[in-house]
Amino acid sequence: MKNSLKVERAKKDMTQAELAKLVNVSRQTINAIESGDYNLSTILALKISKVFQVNVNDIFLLEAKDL
Amino acid sequence: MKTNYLLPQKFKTIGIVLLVPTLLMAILFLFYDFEFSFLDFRVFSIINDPIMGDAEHFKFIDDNITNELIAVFAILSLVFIAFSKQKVEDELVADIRLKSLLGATYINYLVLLFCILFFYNFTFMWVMMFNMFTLLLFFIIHFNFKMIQLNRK
Repeated sequence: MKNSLKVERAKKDMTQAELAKLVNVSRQTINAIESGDYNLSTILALKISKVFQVNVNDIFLLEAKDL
Repeated sequence: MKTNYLLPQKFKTIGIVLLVPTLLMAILFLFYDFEFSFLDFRVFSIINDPIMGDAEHFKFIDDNITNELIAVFAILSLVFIAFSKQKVEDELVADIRLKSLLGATYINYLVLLFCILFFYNFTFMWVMMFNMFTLLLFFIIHFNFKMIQLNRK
């Protein structure tokens, strides 16, 4: 799964730590999601999309290998 | 994310504090046959099968409970350390916890299989005794190693 979390954060000038606080996880979790080391839950994906006021699909995208 | 069945964070400290004297007592007991004389009690046993004599069931017997206390404290302290919440207990930590438990279970039973095949008689009894604690021990090592790796990122 690809994601544009880093881009969305940059648009809002938000640090990993700030986003982590808003969605109630650790900064390390945001870092692991951004670097593709961890596939997050649906709940967390929805929470993150709510913070950036976009659809989940605008941030998280399935790759060919996921299908 | 809600993670159920975990102990409060302070239990980790309690576990560490409890583990230190327990380890000392275990070393003294195992290598020097040390027993506290004030721990001689009449205890209830469901099965008591001594080396000499017949097995007894559901009877009160005289026993020094030093070894029982060491085992109880060792299990409690390891459970406290293993299953207390992290400072931030989120879904990534829950994922690492689950993977560590799986990894520790595999390692534990691989070691046990090896010991079943190659260790015999009294040595195997020692193996079984340590095996009571190794699953928790392997889990603690694996989980904390992964958490240190995560926190470095």
